Amino acid sequence: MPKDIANDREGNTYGGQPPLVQEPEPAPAAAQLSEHPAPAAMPSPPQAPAMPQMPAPPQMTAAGRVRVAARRRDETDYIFNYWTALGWTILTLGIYGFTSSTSSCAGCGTIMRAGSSSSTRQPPWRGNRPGGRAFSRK
Amino acid sequence: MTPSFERAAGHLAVLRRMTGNFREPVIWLVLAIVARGITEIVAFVLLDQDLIKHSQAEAGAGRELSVIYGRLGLQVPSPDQGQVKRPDNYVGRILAAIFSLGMYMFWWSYNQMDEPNKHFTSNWAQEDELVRAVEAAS
Repeated sequence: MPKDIANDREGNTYGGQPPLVQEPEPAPAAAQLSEHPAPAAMPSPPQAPAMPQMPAPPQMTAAGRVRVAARRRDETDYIFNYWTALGWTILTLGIYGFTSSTSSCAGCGTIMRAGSSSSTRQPPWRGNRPGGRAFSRK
Repeated sequence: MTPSFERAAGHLAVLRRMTGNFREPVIWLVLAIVARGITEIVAFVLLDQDLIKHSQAEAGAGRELSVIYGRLGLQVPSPDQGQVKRPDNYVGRILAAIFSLGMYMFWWSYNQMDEPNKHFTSNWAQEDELVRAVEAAS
């Protein structure tokens, strides 16, 4: 979530800089030389056709990343509705109470995840769980 | 600003570690079926401690963000220290649950759902301020 924009899932870092990717070091010249060089007459193996490079996704600005993270908070910030949960517990003769109490557990996990954009997992019943609702922001 | 970044990184590390804590709702569901009541009490105590730890780290990171943006000449209000939850009186709550023959658990459940809700809504105000500051900076 927005508080953790330091190192998000896409590997972006502070300041909008692209993630550092270690370039493969070139092999030493000695390793490239074969001990038994092929005779000049030997045909070289067929070269694989060059794969077309996929264009890199456009980099978002820091402001854009923060804005998107704030907009996506309803995916992680789970709002409980106690009275709906209680109503379902009564209607199901207490059975729903089991999921209600365990959803508190998952809800806390959601809180913890909200501190980190590295995970946006949700409770499995999120979105269709009658005891809760996603908060609709105005 | 380096010390502020380092302190913020420390708070974020706490939040990241919490995302990896073992919080499996299915296990808690099974435990709740086997030992209804006792499991809920244990879960509620642990969830309360999780929320406290989370909100402390989050407020710390928010304070550092406020300092960093302040140095840049932008206003991001520091999180209110009062938003860090204080621990429940666990012994008192357990005694209340016992002497009320379990009826107090309804109130405790309500608290367990209401406190994370309040936590999120206070976060949103903070996040909106952050978005405004980032947009102003860009």
